[in-house]
Amino acid sequence: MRKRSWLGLWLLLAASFLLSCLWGRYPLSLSDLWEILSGQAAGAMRETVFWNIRVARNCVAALCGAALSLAGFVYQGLFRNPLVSPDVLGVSGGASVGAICAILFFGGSMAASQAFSFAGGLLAVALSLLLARAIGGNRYFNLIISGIILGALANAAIMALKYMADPAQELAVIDYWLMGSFHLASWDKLRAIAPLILTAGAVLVLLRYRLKVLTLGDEEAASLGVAVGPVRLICVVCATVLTAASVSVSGIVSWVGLIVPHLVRTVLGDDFEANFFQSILCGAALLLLADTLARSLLPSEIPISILTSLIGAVCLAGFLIHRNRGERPC
Amino acid sequence: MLNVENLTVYRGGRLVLDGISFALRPGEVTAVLGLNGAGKTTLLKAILGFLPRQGGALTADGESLDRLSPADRAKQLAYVPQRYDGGFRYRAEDFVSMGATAYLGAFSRPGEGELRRAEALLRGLDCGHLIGRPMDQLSGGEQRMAYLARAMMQDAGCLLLDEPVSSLDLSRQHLFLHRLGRYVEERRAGCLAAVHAPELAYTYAPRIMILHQGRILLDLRRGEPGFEERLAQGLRAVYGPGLRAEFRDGLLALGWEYES
Repeated sequence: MRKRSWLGLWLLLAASFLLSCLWGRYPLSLSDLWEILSGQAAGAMRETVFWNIRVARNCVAALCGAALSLAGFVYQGLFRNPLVSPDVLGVSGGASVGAICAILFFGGSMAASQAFSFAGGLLAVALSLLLARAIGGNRYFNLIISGIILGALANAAIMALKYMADPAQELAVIDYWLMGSFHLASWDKLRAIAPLILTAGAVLVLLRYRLKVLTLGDEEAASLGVAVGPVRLICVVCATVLTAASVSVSGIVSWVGLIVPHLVRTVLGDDFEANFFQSILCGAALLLLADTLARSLLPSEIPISILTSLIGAVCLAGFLIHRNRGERPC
Repeated sequence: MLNVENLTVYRGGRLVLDGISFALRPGEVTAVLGLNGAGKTTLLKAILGFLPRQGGALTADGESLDRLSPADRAKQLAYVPQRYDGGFRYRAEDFVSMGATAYLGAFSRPGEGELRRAEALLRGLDCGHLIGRPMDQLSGGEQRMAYLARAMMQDAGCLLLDEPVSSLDLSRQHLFLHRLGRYVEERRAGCLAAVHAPELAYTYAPRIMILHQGRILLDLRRGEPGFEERLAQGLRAVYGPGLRAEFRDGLLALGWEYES
């Protein structure tokens, strides 16, 4: 059973990737794909579509899906709450403020908005950690409350910046960014985020057992020999880097980080270490599929958060109804 | 062994522990009795370093606990909290194997060997049927046994237990304390257990301390001259003069007399 579910997840990811490579406004067939891969003359247009548009975009989408889901999973473990999202410490709000500043004050060049949103996300989380320390008291509660405060501040800044923006041009760009999209994904973007995401992901993979013990609660984890403070800080930093890096290339992609770990736990069974890797695979596949739909459903591309929010809300309602009937598989 | 000297703790501006001193002995269960709010939990948590203390020294085997790394502390002190509060779902043997955390490298996880040992510990406590079952579906008594197995896995010099049997039914209270006593004796471990029921303390703990108003009112060993009389006096001082205590065949029976 367990082997089969791993195989199923890998197949799901491979199938999503393949489907996503073929389907789109410029359809490719399996024989086109074979010609391209085997190096036969397939036509420059098809090769460009395949390598520089589809494959690059799919790699970015899959990597972001994996990163957001893993970040959500880690935060849910750290806060011992299955309904926490990667946003809990205000990373998306900070990243949005950064990206909007880049659009308004630096002409919205790709490199600038990427760098600014990444820095904005990290800054927001750093501030909410400092604020939590200043508040003191219960460590779960004060982190969540300071995340809410930072989120509110970021929201105020976003509204103020949108109010200042030129409605004809900049406002549309800002709104589009806030709804997320992979239409600007490229090999360059992949090169920019892959090292960050892979490094942060690798650290989390190494620390996954400490994180599991930490889900017993701070005091029990400490009594079992876990250095609670440092482990928690490293995990928060890594999860934040994962989120900020993916948001910096795609804009806000809502709900993936919340829903995927939940989906995995409910459908594949509660097992912390297995769920860790299942979230990564499942998140990559889900975002690939959502992105494929976003660029293929309508003649013009739909922002991806419209789809992920829709899927996420429906899934969450389904899980909660399912769970409260006491049918959770073990 | 754990040595506590002059431990002083304030919580919310109130003096909760007022210069507590004692040392644990290997192979001996020490029961801490006291009213609710007498500071039993505070005492355990202050020793474990979960609460800041305003004075005093804590040492284990002559070394200051403050200077030990988290892993080395875990090899000195194992902790059984009042209740199970797992946020996620773990199988019982998985939960027990977490006791090995202190012996693993920062990036490692328990392997087959640790899991087999966890299962063997559960079987040794007659809890083999818990293997493979999720912790959150076990009864309170079964969860306690899993905690005991985890503490045994941790193989620490001292066990600190916070009211380990308060929520259990009668037979499971006795079963748990009997197994605890046997393990402590075999391992030659120190053991400090906050206990609510004086009867259970009398039966299972060779040493009884009564915590009252932030101080140790009484610190008695079974077999000391006048042990039972002094214990009864101490209990009356804490619970009230109406308390009646009778000792018979190694059992303590408690009752209450009302003034008419």
